[in-house]
Amino acid sequence: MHWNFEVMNYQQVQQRPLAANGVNRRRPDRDAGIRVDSNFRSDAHTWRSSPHIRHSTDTTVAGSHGHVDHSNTNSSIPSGSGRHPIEKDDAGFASRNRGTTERPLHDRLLFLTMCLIGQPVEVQVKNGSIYSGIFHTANAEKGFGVVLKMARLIKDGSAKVGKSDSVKEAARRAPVKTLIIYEKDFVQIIAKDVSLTADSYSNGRTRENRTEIMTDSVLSQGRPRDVERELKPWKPDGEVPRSLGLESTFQSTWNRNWDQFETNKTLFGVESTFDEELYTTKLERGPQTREREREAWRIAREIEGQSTRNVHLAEERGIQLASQLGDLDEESKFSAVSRLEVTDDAGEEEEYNNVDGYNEETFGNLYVNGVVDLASPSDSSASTHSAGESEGKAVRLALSDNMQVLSPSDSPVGESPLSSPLVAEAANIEALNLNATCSQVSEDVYREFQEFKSQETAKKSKKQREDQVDELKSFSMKDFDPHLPRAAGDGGRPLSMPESGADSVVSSEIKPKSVTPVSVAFTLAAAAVSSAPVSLNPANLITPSSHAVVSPAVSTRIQSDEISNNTCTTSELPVDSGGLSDAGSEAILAPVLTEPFVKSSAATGPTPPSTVNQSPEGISVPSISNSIPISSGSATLASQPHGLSMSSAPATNVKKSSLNPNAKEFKLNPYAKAFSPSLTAARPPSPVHQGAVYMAANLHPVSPVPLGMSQIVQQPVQPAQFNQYNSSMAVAAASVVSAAPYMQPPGAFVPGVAGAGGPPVLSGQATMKMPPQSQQQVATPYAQQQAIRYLPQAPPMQPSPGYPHPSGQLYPQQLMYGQHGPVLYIQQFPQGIMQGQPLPLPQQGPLPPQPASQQAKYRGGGIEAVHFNVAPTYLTGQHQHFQQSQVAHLHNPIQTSPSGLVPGTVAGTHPSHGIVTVPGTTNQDTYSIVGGNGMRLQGKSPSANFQLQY
Amino acid sequence: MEAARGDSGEFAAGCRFCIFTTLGDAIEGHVLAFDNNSGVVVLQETGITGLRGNLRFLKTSYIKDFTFLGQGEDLLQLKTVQVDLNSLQAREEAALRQAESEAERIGEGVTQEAQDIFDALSKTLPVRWEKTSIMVMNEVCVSDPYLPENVEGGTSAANERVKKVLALERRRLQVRGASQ
Repeated sequence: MHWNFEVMNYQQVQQRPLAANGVNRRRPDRDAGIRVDSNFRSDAHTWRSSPHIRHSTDTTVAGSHGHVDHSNTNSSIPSGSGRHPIEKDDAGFASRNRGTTERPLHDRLLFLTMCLIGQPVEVQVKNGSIYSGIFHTANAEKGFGVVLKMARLIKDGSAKVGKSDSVKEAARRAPVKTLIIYEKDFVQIIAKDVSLTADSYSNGRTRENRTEIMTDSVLSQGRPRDVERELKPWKPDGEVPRSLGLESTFQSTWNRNWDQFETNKTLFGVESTFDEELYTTKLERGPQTREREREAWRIAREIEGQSTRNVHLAEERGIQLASQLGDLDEESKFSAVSRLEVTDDAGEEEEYNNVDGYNEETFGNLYVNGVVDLASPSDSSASTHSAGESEGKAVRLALSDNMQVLSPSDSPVGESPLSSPLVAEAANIEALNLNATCSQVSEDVYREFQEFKSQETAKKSKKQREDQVDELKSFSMKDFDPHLPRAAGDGGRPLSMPESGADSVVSSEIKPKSVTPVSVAFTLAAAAVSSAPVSLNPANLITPSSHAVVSPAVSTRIQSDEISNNTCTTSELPVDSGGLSDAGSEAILAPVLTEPFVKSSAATGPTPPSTVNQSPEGISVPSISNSIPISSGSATLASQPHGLSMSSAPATNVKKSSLNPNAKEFKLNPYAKAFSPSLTAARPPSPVHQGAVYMAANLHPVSPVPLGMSQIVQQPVQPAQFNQYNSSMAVAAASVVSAAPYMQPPGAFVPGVAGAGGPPVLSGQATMKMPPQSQQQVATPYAQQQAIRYLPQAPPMQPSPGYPHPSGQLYPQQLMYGQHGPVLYIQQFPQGIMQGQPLPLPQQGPLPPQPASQQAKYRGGGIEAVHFNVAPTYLTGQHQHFQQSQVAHLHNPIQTSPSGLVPGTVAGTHPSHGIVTVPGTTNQDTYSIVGGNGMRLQGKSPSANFQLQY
Repeated sequence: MEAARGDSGEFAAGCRFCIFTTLGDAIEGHVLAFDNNSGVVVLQETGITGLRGNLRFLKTSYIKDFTFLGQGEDLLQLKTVQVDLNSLQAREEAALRQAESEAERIGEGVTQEAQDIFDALSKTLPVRWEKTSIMVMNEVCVSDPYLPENVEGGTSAANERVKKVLALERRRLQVRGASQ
């Protein structure tokens, strides 16, 4: 009957011929199995009538005797396709059945039997032996016969204890493909973990897949071996410990005394070298200890006694939030952001306040002061802020407000504190001093100071220059540039000349500096290099606000340059190095510096001029050209004037080494960082953001000034862009080597060259800058080449070693500024070289010096860009001119940058000035002096260090 | 036996029994099904509840004694169950494939030691039996008595590798054997 049932289903299903046994089908050699199936199908009663399988040859029969025959045959179970609702069958079944009362239970038996199909089961036979295998089918018609696949004897009924040899033997042999257990031998089936729900069937496929995936488990799946023990359930002897948790375990006294080291030594003879003091601070017990412990205990009590609604805190404090704890999972308890409604928690408020207090303690003065300084120019409140630490918060807010008000965009360049170099310097000075009380330095004071500085610089500039030249020479000699010495010498002189021009251009304030500038720039660069890491951040942070910042930026760039030089990679660094190597080395440095300065703002101004001067000499230009693809041009340049470009790299290296010592001083910049935050966007603090804004403002002003190109008046509107552009240009120049795009910027740089072509340049500049900001006019030419680059510029800057890091944005700007000068030079060279045209304009560049006018600066930037386009001819025409013009340009850019950057410039300038002055005077003496100034001004001017080194 | 059979009629679904078999087994569980024709009672062992658990298909003629423990709940509702023969077949195929792949790991007519070595090697290397020889990576042959010097064939690198693994595994087996 049952069998009938199966058969019936079978036939229904079997309409699909194959359904029978996929397995069999796949194995031709088991066709016998199929035959069996067919037998079943055609004659279901075969099974019933003859309990013994006909295909005895193929099948194994487990008899009462416990002997098994092995065969390769498969007997298959009828298999169907599709879902087979049992209930349905019931109907059909009923008809077939003779309507016995047991039917319901019988159906259940059939169903349960089907549940076993494909499951590993164990079948016990009459003699007690147990076979395990995969349940294949059963005959429930009369008695209960079972067919197993891949069966194996796992227990020998004849052996009462342990495993008999027959079992071991069976384990060592391949399992029986098909084992038929006749009803007369059948005792029971033991099936473990069988699902009785329909979904178990759907699991079939999943399981199949799983087995194919679970390689590890398959590997580790040992075959039954007698090595394995028989597992027995564990039963506790006597009393069961109530809790086996970790905590309870180690709370008990007997565990308390457990010494892992002792145990380890006893058991394994391992001597421990453990010393608690390696992992924590040594606890020194003194007379005060007891009091301290008491105090600590009191504080702990105080804290723990506080109420909290924070679940985690509550737990730590031993407070039970019974209503909540129980329901929360670990995630909610310890990891997740609290979703609980946090009512006003006085304690937490206090904590926050405390944190603020700490911040003020830690950064407050600098922070506030810096901010104040920035704001101060326009807002008197700054001083107030600086005054009160306790009010730090309020002050900060106020400052932020002020800052916003002051923001470059809002305020005209001239008006904005940042914009004015003086202000910036004052701010810087303040920052350097970190003196809360003296929030601001009046412009008059500042001016006086600058005048003093300029005078000093003038006095010392010559000496310094000479000294520097000597140093450079020596450096170059050391490094590897035979040319360097020469170049240095040439560069130094020319530089000095240009410097003078540059100075004039740069700012009325610092005229004498011009000569020194180069040296200063150089020193700065060196300093920058040494300080690079530290300085970078500051620079980024506060272009306008802090001198220190500016210098850092410069330094960072320099570093990158140096690195690149060392590496021989083509990048901004190469250019710088080139500058260094030549007399140009200074010039190069200057460009670098200028860039930073530019970024920094006015502060940069001073140095840039120096740089410019140098560059004019042509040294700088060559270097630039080298760095840039234009390199050929640069090469020419180099050959002409200094031929330093190549050698410059070594020079840079030298500088590095020398600079390194200074680096420490640069570290002072950290202060700068503090400033920077307040000033620039880099710092989260509102002040910083403002600073960023200021930058923009600075840029605007700067852009006009630097170029000193009155022609480019239009640009003013887009100053910020220009600045960027410039910076980008600068970057490009710096990176000239690295990026073709930069090359284009170099074109922008050409400005110096452009100087000759003034007007066009101007337009070009505008366009150049435009890409980023203005976009329209010049854009086309530049846009093509530079457009991308411009945008990239900022990014490029970042990419470059030094720039990229944290203050990426800021850097770009700074770089932009700084780069203007350098870029211009480079471009000119290339152009000139490339085209071989004379560079009449260059001088104009020098003229641009008119730092005073912001517009001029802008133009300068723009001009540079323009120059690029125009430049080629000019450049080609006159290398020397170019150099000069370049120098002039450089001056302009530098100057412009200072003026534009004014605020920042001041800061930056100071350092540079300091440096410059130093150069002018005896190196060390001057340095010391300058350093002192710079130090004071910036608080940590890397330059000071450098100077010292020099 | 006869008594048991006679009682079998009373095996109603859901009833919990403790059954002792003539072979010394004690089974405690509730009845899922009973068929008088075949004389088989299906019990679900106590312990795991729900529609999943350990089943016993016991021939009632081997029941020596049983105790009625109570009336339980019958969770099995055939009316709601559907059987997918395809998935049954798939499940069986998968199980067979698995079993066969494992069966292939058993060497015919080899010693237990050889089998142990084979198993040990199989943990790190792809191995199969080539009659009584162990074929590693299909190129290196380890033949009886499965000593490092019995390693033949393959590239020198592979050969050396197999030798090394074999030597170390042998040592490990020795240690384990000694410890037992």
